[in-house]
Amino acid sequence: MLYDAPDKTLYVVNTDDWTVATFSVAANGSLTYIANTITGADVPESIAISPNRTFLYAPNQLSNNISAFTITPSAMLNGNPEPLTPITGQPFANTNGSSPDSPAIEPTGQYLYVNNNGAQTVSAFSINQGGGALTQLSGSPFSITGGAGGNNQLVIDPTGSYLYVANQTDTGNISGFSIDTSSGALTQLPNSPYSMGSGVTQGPTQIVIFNPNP
Amino acid sequence: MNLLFVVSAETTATVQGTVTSFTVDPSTGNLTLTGNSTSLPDAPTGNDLVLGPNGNILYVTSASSATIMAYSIASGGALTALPGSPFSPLHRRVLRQRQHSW
Repeated sequence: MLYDAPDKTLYVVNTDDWTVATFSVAANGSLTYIANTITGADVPESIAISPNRTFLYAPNQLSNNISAFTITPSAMLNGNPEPLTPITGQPFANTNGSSPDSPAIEPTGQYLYVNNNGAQTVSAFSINQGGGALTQLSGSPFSITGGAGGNNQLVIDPTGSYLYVANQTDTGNISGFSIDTSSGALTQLPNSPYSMGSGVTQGPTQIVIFNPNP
Repeated sequence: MNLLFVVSAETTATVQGTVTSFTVDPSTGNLTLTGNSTSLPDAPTGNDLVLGPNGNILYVTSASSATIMAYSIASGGALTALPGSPFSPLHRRVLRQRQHSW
């Protein structure tokens, strides 16, 4: 589920029927259903929206690819029942990936990252700024070395410099990568993975980063 | 310094969940435990972790108890449960009022 605040639009992934439902959000928080868009691929889990709110991506765990759409808020304002339009060529293959799970786009909107739940890797794609098509980066997927396994979710630092993965198996740990801002490539940080510390008896499942001085 | 929050929980909901916080070193990306970890009031399944729109509130959902915990975030990553937390969907009006008053 993802809320696009400027466009007052809520997107909900329906994993079982392979669709993304779109709702407009009123000032009092109430929802008005707009449309269900078929992703065209098997078992989408979660979604990411580009920072300019133009493109929406939904990795599909079973078909190992990524559904991609353009968002047309102006059409939605006119009452058009189909605010998401499939991008030509979608769904895009997640070559050498497995069960892509949690997507994130770095702040400049150039690169999309997805952790592969079925392998200890992170796939990386460049985003065509004109049409939103994905091209897998050279070197992708990048290995999560020394992680506890069961990678569950990834998050990108608000600066766009670092990417972290929650590894859920057993008591788990956190893997960290630096992002090459010119190529999008990932390099695991020297001290990665990071222990969860004492007192934690189960693995991490969800992860966010808070900037106290935005 | 940015703070990274992680919720740890099992899918079987037999063990109490935890929120752990780390600082993010801006020059190296290294994570350091803040020493502030928060035990959740139940063993959440289907949990999620969301920052409030103004940043200083962290919400943790629990599908197993159908509640939402709301915490204010202090410097250093310490979490303090908001009055009335956890909120259930039956009390969502209260949640909205409290959000507006912060």
